[in-house]
This record gives sequence, structure tokens and C-alpha cells, in this order.
Amino acid sequence: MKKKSKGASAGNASKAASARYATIGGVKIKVANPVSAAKRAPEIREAVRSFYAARRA
Amino acid sequence: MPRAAPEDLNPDVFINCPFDDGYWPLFRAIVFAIHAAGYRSRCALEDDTNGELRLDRLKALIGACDRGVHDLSRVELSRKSRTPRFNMPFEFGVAVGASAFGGSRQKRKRALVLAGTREEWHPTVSDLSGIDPRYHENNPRLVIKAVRDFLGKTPDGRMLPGVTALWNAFQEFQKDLPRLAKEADHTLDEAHEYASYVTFVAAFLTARRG
Repeated sequence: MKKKSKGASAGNASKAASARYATIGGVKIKVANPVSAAKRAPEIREAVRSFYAARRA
Repeated sequence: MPRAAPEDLNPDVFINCPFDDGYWPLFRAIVFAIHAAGYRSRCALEDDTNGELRLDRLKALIGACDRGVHDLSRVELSRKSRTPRFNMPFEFGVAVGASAFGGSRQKRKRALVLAGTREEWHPTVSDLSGIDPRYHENNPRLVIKAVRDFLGKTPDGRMLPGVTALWNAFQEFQKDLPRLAKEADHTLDEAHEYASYVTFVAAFLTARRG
């Protein structure tokens, strides 16, 4: 039996941890990262996340 | 419930449509539906800076996407030049050609053809008489339904949300976008630029609870 490399396993775990999901109509969808994201994508993501976190609070 | 086996197609969906003010409401609905279904939109508006010729970029994009949404509803005379707009049928032809004469990957291409109304469709492209388009009547909800039905399942084989749930999420996004843009120090026009728009869509989908 082939031994799994530690690197591959860690990579998969990291991928799974960074996967982002949406729930629409009760259905869970894995959201793909856009191919052509804005240059300020991290700022946009953080602003949107904060907006909905504040709304829920 | 066991999941259906996912098709061996990639999640990239090429959008071939007019890029003009009158079409933006439909374009934004198409992009939203693609991302809300777990896929990725690709179109000629992305990465306009790498110096490749437009035709080369288009060929690369079409070749890279296993699925395509082709809206042939606006092949009318341009108001300015009074000449027909050939871009959409041309790009659809490139996709059909890739599928017909390309390698095994290209032969698996799937296409959704959109048209405005049944009355407009038949006289426009008689060579495509065997193709049954979906008619959107310039209605974003019908576009979302057409895209949803075309994609069928998520890329990993799960059931998609119903059209009402997708439409409600889109409406919510449209309503919230001006405030989301402001939070991110964008004007609404800047938020509507393609690269920003897809970023806002993906961020909205993962940040909201629906």
C-alpha cells in the first residue's frame, strides 16, 4: 500500500479549511473563487463579511 | 440521499453576451446565478491588460470553459454604426467549432443558447434551426431560471436551489450592493465593474445566511 505523503494530506486539510460555502434556500453550495477577482478582493470580502456580521448582531 | 456522480466537466462557464447598458441587468443576473450554483463565470471583460489579441483571448477563454451561455438576442443593428452586431454569433460559432473539431475535452462542451422571444429567434440565425434556445424576454428572473436549469447540479453533483430561492438571493444582493460597495469604499459604478462585481457576489454568497 502506498504511503500518503504528509505534504499532500496537509494541503488537502488546508484546502478544506479555506473552502467557503453559501446556503441558498436551505441548500449548501461550495462557492468558487472568481477567476478575475478585484485587486482589492480581501478588503471587499472583509467589508461584506463585517456588514452581515453587524446585521446579525 | 446519495449524490449523483458529478460530470467530468470543469466549473468554468463562458458568458457570451452584449456588454452594453441595456443588457447589464441580464448580465448581472447570469453572473450571479453561475456563482450561486457553485460555478465560475468567465468572459471577455476579465483581465484586459495582458496584451494578448482580443481574438486570442477569446479562443483561450472558450477553450478553457466546458460550458457556455450564449445570448443571441441582440444581433440587431447598432444605433451608431447601423451595422449588425456579429460578436455573439461569432463567439458562439467559435464554441461550436471547438466542439465539432477540437479534441475530446472540447467535444464535451455544453451550451445554453438564450434568445429574447420566439418571434425574434427564427429569422435571425436560420442555420441554428435545430437548436432550441431558452427565451428570456429581457427578464432577469427568466435568465436565472435558464442558467439554473442548464447547469442542473452543483459542480460536485449536488442538487441546486430552486429558482425562487436563487431569485430571492439575487434580489437581496441587488438591494444590499450599494451599502456593501460603500462599506468597501467603492462607488456603485466601481462595484459593477466585472472583477469587482464577481468579488462582491462571491463575498455576499458566503457572508449572508440564507
